Amino acid sequence: MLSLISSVYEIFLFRKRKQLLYRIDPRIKLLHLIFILATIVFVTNVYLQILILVYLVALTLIGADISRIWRSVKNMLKMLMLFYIVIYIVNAFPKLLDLGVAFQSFIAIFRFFMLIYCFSLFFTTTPLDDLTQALYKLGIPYHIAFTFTLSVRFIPTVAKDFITVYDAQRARGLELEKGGFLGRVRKFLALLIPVFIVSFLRVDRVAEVLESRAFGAVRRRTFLYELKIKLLDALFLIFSSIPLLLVIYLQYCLLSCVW
Amino acid sequence: MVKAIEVENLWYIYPNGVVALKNINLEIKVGEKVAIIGPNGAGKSTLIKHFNGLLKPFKGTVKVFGTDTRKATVATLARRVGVIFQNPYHQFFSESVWDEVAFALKNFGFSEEAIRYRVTKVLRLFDLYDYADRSPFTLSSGEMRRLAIATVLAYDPDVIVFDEPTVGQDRFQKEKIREYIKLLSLQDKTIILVTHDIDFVAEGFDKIVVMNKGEILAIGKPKDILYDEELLTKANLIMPQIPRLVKEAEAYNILKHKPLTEDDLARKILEILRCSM
Amino acid sequence: MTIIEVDNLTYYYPGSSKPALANISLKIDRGDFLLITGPSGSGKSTLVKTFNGIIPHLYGGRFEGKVSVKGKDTRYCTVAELSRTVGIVFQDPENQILTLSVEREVAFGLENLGLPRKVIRERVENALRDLNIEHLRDRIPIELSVGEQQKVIVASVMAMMPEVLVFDEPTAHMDPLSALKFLDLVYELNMKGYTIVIVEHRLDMVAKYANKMIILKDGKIVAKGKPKDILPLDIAEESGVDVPRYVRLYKKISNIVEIKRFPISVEEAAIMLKEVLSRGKSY
Repeated sequence: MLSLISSVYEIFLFRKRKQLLYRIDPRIKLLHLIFILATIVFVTNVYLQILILVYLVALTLIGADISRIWRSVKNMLKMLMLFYIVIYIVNAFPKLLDLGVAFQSFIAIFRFFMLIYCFSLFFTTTPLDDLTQALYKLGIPYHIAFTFTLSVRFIPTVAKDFITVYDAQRARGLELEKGGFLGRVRKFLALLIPVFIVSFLRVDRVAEVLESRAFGAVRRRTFLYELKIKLLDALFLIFSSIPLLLVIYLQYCLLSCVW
Repeated sequence: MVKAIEVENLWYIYPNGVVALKNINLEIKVGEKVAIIGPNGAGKSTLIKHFNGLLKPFKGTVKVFGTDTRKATVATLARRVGVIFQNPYHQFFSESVWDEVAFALKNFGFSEEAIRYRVTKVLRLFDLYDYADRSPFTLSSGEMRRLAIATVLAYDPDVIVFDEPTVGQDRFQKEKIREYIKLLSLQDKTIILVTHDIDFVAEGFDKIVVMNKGEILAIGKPKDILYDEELLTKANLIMPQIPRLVKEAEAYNILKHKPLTEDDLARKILEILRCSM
Repeated sequence: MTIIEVDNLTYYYPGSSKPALANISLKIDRGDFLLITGPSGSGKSTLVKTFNGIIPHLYGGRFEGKVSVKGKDTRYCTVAELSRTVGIVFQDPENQILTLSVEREVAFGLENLGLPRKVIRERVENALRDLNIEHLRDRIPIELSVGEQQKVIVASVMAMMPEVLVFDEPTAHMDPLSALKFLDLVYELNMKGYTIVIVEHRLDMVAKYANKMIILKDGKIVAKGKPKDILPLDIAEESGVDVPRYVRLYKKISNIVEIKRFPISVEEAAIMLKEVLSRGKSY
């Protein structure tokens, strides 16, 4: 469970690289991401979906760090397998074995996997602060855009608090494995309440620091790394959209053509 | 005579691959007062988490009163080894001070009567009885610390471990902690204190364990350890004030007595001055 | 030249009937190294938070008296304005880090002020260089050690180029060696021209650098002056101040032996000891 949280968190940790996707403006990437998501949702044909995956892998090989992506995605696979089993059982009921359902469930998980893959690709190649700036430039007030970055920034801190509280309560004899459902819920409070309280106390300090660093002082905020849309970004958008348009067209043909 | 804590060839590696403890060998006898010192990241906290089973050895064994920690649950070990953590906010969650103290007792299966008796006793001992119905979050920071210690003493463990008790504390608070250690020691409790506060461990301990980078560099008597400049430098620590000034003054006739407190040193100085008159 | 002046300040936190600070008056001159100490709850943190306007602007409460920074009353300035003169470093580095990159952390305050990119770049470079953390620029701040984190925070504050640097128990979570190095660094900054205000318990490491010192107890100043004049006073020990062991040694033997110079540091105490013992030999 903790490894899942840490692998999700890892996705947001940006490390500088030279590949293509790391150099594209986040706003363009956001547009591109929305386009890919739309394509995944619209396309229902299995072969075309595999084509989309090929497209994503090719994009990763050219423009990003494939070992990094694979590491993030690997930890999700266990969770995905769990989802697959649940979806299969729910849809196959009352039958135990249904090949049709097995296949459909697989397709559903496959599409979900591609969704996760796209998001991983986006976030590992985009510094969170740049995303905040992109949202700000798109019209969202900075302090709202910054909230997301700040929350991600504190994930490991809160996780550490949780572990500390867990240890402290276990050292007082707390045994989560024992007791009935209600008992366990009450025991969970012994874990949640201290974590919440420590987080609330933290808010005061963070507010003090934000104020001390003149947060919100000026209407037009500047940035150390200013986002600018370059020729490269435009070219990227054009060339990366062509395969997607092709796939959408093929799907459209399949839907409307009578073969 | 069974030892309170026996650590043999202990290695611990975190899931992310970091080697936190390397070949730790340590023996703590019943009733001893031990200080484990070292810089941040030395592995001190990792080590004490093995004493109540929060962490299980990667390699090697840890025995608490003869019981192998691998074969016992945290709850059974925690019953005998109480750990007082650094930040009271990491454990308080009850509606009242009374409930907070009773929490551990309930977990350890004490009877209603025993709980009532013990909670009353320990609250009175720590001057918190008048706050019994109040929320623990309405207490001052000093009172919260007292409460944190009270919650552990209520179930009367044989070994009491203090994890960095002096961080952020002023002199009065540190002296209070010293008093509690003395009090517990009178009751034959085994005391283990983890800290990087080199001046705090100058008095009140039978032996000092020096750690750095996951290893034990030395175990010895305070006088020997705290005057060993080379050892302390290797451990990324500095000498306490009194040994440091005695060494720097090159006062060799005082050096052989190795005074650790200003009282000891003052007495030696006056002795020497009187002798030479 | 006075840079911060506190004039009969009394402050109550919202909803509190007891004042956190009572009748505080003090003057901080440019170039000073002011050491503030006292037991827990004596109002030290509250006092330094009045220097950049966090109190009263962020907390509200009842604020009586006046705090002036460069002649301006803090009640009529915003915290953002004051942050360009007074920068504060608190004790818990983990809660002062707001971003996921050291470089951007240092740039954060400057970005908030809307400064031109060239100026931001220059100041970030200077701050990283002054604190010797250029090699950490692409690292994720929360993955650093406590000592390194504090340096990043100091750099972030320094980038805003304040004239006064305030430190609120900056070494609380550091081990003795890191603390020693950090406090030496603070002194270096004083030598470079920064006015320093520091709240500390580790007097053995920092008293030697201060030219002014105050002891707070229950929100009041109970002693004010030079460290060498205040530390030997009984009020220091009675207030719960962590009076260094060598000062207590001095007090124990100075009635019996004549000591010419009060030891402000361990080094001076060693000299004192040497001198006292050599006198004994001449009898």
